[in-house]
Amino acid sequence: MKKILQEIKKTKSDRLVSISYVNEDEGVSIYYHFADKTPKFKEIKIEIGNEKEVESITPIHPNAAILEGEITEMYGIKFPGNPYSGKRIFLEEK
Amino acid sequence: MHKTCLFPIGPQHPSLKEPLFLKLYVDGTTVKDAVFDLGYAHRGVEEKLEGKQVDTALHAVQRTCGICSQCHTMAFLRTVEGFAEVEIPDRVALQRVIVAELERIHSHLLWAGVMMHELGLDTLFMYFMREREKILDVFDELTGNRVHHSSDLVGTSKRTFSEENLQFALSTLDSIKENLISYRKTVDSHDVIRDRCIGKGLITKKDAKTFGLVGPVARACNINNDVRVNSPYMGYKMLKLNSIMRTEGDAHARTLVRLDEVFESMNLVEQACNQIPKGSVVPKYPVKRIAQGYGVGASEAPRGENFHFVKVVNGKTARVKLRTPTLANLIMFPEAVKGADITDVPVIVMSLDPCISCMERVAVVKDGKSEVWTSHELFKGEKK
Amino acid sequence: MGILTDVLKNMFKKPFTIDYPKKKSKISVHFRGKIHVDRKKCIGCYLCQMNCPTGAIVVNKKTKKAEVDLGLCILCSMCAEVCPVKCIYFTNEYENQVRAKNKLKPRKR
Repeated sequence: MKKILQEIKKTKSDRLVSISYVNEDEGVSIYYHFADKTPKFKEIKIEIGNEKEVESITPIHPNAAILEGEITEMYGIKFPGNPYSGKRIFLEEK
Repeated sequence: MHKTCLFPIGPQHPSLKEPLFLKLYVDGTTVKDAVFDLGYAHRGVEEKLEGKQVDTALHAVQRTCGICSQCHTMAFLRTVEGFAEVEIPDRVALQRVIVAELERIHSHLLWAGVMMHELGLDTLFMYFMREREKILDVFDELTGNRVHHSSDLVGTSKRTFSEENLQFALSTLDSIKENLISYRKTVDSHDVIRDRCIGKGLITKKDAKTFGLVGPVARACNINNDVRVNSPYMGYKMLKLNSIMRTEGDAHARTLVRLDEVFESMNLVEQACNQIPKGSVVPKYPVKRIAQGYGVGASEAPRGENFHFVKVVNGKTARVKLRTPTLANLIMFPEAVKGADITDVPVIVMSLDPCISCMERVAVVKDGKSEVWTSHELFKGEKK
Repeated sequence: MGILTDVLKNMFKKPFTIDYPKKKSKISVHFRGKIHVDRKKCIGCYLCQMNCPTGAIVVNKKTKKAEVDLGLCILCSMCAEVCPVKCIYFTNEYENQVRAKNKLKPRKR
């Protein structure tokens, strides 16, 4: 997983578009999409299997805060380093 | 050290279009901090889109939002026709663009009306709504419904727009143009509007680039994120288009950008109606069987860049993820409000144009810890 | 002076609003109103039930004909596109309000 985070550090000049959580046959994958100057989107995929923690990318792209917070609230994956982790965004209070 | 007190607006308020809870921490009349609470229009749209045929899922995606329904159609069809490699004829491409640009006009006129209502000028609110009503009559003639158009399928379209329909559309646009030029002159020169909008809710160009803002909010800070210009799709490849840009970055600049985009859209509809080839559309269903694959695609909604991710397994949809433009701009809402007066808060929030029902459409929790009601259970009034 | 000339012009014109419900507004021929199934032509092929996004149109097990639950129908016209004998069509009625929820369900046959 550390190699893919090195690749994300190279995208500092691009704009982060979305972070998606997908259930596949082999396990769980997280897709990151970036917009650069070309007409197509750049895609980076992480396969996390059964793990529950992924390093947050908020130091490089500040607008990842709310996208990662949504995945934490709905699916339970934690992103240590995210300022929104643990806060309520969409679902009701307990 | 002064203490701050909590000043709540909402979730239900006469001046808000949709339910939204603003918590403002106020010292005197200056706002020191703001927290936006959401979740009042959450319906579980992404959960309903699993395990359906592709055309059936298209009709469910269109009903995420009422004001911007054609932009969800365009993004979904761009994605599916992209990874399944389906070619569309020229006539279908231009018909979809005509409906999308008319929808941009009606959304901006609705926004302009509500913005004038927030400032207290109710006569201009009624005038903008009167012009918008004529555009909804055009939709009734062309597609069969005033808001949820549903006139497209994968690879084709459901009906052909005849010569009389297109002439009716063009003559309606001609009849409202003169009035709109006069209203735009008023917004630019009226003393009350200028004093309440200039210099409020300032967003710098550096902030807009760091947080990745989209839509007319970014174009008012001189950053061009327009999808129709950077990666053209469908009928936009055949048309000439200029993006409207300004440099000031405050609420007045955002108002003028949206009003100028109305005139640019009218120009695009005229170009498309003149270039449309003769002939008719063949509504064959289905055009091609789609079995496996995944892809991404984006389209330009009235509020910014709309992004879809679609994955199809064994002929049925396995995962659809929507990232709407209001979700991308949401992180800037508390920052734009800090340091302003309480009386400026409705003007600033309305100039950023939130569309709450587009934004709240998230998926179900799979580990069973919290309760989520599906639409069938809500309709019956009981939980299984 | 710009907006004042508009206000003075409009003071001597007819109002733009319509006196509903005494007068009804004009709607076009293509408007998608209440849905109607022609039971004589229906062959019970189940294609409409498989393609409905919400599960509103269902083939009755006893009579083998399609019937519609108006509370769940979203007027998307997928069933009308898919039907092989074209027995489903839209009327122009848009005033479908009722006072009890069970009146929206199909009649028991």
